[in-house]
Order: sequence, then structure tokens, then C-alpha cells
Amino acid sequence: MDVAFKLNGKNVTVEVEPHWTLLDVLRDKLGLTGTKKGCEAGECGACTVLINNESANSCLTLIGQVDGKEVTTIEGLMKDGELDVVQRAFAEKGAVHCGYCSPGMIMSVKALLLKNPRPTRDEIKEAISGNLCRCTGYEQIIEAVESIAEGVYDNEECKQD
Amino acid sequence: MLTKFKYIRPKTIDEALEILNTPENTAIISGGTDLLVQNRARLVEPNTVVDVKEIPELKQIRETDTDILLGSAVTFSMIIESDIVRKHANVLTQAAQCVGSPQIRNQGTIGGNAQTASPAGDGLVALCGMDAEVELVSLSGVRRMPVKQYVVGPGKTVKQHNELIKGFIIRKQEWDFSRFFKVGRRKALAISIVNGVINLSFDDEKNISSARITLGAVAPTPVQIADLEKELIGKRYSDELGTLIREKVLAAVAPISDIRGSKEYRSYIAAVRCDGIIKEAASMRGC
Repeated sequence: MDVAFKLNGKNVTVEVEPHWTLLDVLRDKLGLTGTKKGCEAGECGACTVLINNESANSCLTLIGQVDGKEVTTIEGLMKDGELDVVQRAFAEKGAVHCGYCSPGMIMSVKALLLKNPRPTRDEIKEAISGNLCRCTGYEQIIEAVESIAEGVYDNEECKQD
Repeated sequence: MLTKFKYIRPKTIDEALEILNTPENTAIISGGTDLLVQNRARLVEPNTVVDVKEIPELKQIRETDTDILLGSAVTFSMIIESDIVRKHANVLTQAAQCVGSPQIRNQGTIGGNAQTASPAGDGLVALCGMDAEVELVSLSGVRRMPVKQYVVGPGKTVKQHNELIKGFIIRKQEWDFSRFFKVGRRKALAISIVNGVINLSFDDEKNISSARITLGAVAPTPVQIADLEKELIGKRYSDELGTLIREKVLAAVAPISDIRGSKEYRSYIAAVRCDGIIKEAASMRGC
């Protein structure tokens, strides 16, 4: 069957099997391997993407369910060759160790900031509670998001190269 | 890997009912947070998956003078954001906040939670705790019954193959005190070891005037602790009443032991939490 949706700002139509998940299609059909496959049970959050700007586990989404919707993956965050503010904050605060959880973690943070640009520490912890990280102990991740919430990146001059 | 199946996304309830009214092995998908996990474990292997999540009528939260009408495809995130639910069915707001993770709450629906019929389902226990009713539709008509009667065992409900959960009817709650509680291994993505709803009202003398106590994960289905409710009427909280509360809960529950907790722990924690919450409610009334 054919499924049409908006992926990272572009309209796409893909020919798929109905029992494929959004995760399968992103990774195996479209080559977008930034979105990771983890537990496939909704526990780890490695496969988190945005569907209509809300975080979702792509391993628990049938491809047919995104027909007509807007999907954003980690590959869609970069604009005009510039990293997204969340990606920059993660890099600068050392919020990435092995990196496996990072795309999903970043998408969960993105979903938070779209709704709430100035989250508190508790709101940040809540927002990433569906994403497991076994390296960082979460502290640097929370610090990275706090730095965004504190407005470190609001002024372009503050941006580090 | 998921098994092979066909996928259909009907636009209306009638269209969905036509599809369900076949002898074919169909499964209804809404959020998918249970069905796809069950399919990967080969617990459910449908030939056709019927996606009801985009049917507009199932995604509504409405109110009448007396009731809240909750569509079955309403997500937990929609419940959390709903002012109607927060005001008139606060227990459900509290329960929705305890479900899974932000991702699961964005995807998972109240109808799916009721259909999965886990004895530990947070949404399901909240519905039972508020004496909510479920509305089932099929081509032959509409059935309405208390959610407590709808669930008959772990994963078992009275819903027939050709029926669809249209939604839930919740009488606007007027308790003085309403609390959903959950005991889990951690805050996020934990399946409840014990959960429950404590609803209390008090008279002018600060005595308990009515009570509704419902517990989950301590029996094959959510259970109402009617013996305890009766004992509470007309009483003020005291240490003696606390002892009685614990005894009544221990006598009423029949949990199993599993990887999340032993039956002894479940019984103990259910008793302690009920006592603690009723004590807290009383102290909030100045007792």
C-alpha cells in the first residue's frame, strides 16, 4: 500500500507493507538511521520522533497511522547547515556519551521546548522520562536543556563555533 | 518483527463496525502501545488491523449537566490537558499523569487501556473508581454497562468481536477528596504493583459521610472494597480506625506474586497506602 505524509518538511509517498512500523520505514526504506531501534516495546525511547509535533515511539506506530501527518526525525532538525539549538546544547554540555539514546532524547526535548520554551528542571526530567540513557546519568542532559531554558542560546552572539 | 496483517483506517464508526462485523480475525488498534507489543510477543496475531484512532467522534471529550462523555480514542495526553476532566473527574487526570511516559501518553488511549483490561491498568482502575460506564456499539445496537462489569478477568472483557468501545460516561464527581495512587518500581514506565482510587466525603462534624475505595493489581480485575466503605461511614479518623482500615483491605484483596511484587508485599502496601491516604484526607479536613 502507499502511505503519504510530510517527512522533515517534505511530502513523501512510500510503498510499504501494512505491518511495517514507522521505525522500519524510516530506517530500512528511507535510510534515515538517526532514529534508533532499541527495545521495540516503548520502554527505551531510542526510536522517538515527532508526529504532528508530539513525541511518539516510532516502534509502536504502524506506518499507516502517519498517513496525512507530519513526521520529524533527528535528521529534520538541522536548518540551513546549522545544528538545532538542542543539538548544540547537547554537544556543548557533553550530554552525549555513547550516543545511542541521543536522537530520541533530543526529539523528546524538542517536543518539550515546542510547547514550553522555558521548562523547569522538573519539567525537563518529566519530558525525558520515556528515554533511557545508560551512560550519562542524565545530569549533563538536564544541564543542556537547562542552558536552553536559561536563554544561553537566545542571542546568536552567544553561539559557540 | 510484527506478523503480516492488513491495515484499514475507517473514517467513521459505521464504517468500522461494518469491517468488524466479519468472521475475519480482526484486531482494533488505537494507540498501538499494547497491541504492537502483544503482537511482537505473538500473543495476538490478527489478519486485519482496524485503526480507529482517527475517527473524529471517538476523539471527543464532552460534558452534559451531569456527565462527562469520553471518546475511546482520547489519549492520556488529551485527558491531562482537559479542563473538563480536571474539574469533574480529577482522579482520571491523576491516573493519566501516571501512565507510561510522555510518548506513551501521546499515543495510548483510554479505550485501549480498558480493552487491554490489565488488572493494573491505571486508566481502567480510575474509571472503575469513579463508577464510570462504558458504551459498546455494534451493527446490532448499543450496550451500556458499568466498567466494573465490563472487565471480567486479566485481559478479558465482555466485548464481542463485532463491538467497538465508543466511549465512557463518567458522572461528574462531587467527592470532597479524590485521590488516585500508584505504587511502582519507578515513576516512569512502571506497571503498577498496586494502584487505586480513594474517594471520600465528609459531613459537617468531619465524620466520613461516604466512601468509594477501589484497588487495582490486587485481584484479577479492579475491586471495590465495599466492606471497608461501610465501616468508614460516620467515623472520624483515629489510630483504631487506621488499624481497621488495614485489616479490611487485607481481608478483601487476593493478589498474585509476579516479577513486580509478591502477594504479601502487594497486600501490605495496599493496606498501608489506603490507611495513609484516608488519614491524610482526614487531616486536610482538620481532623
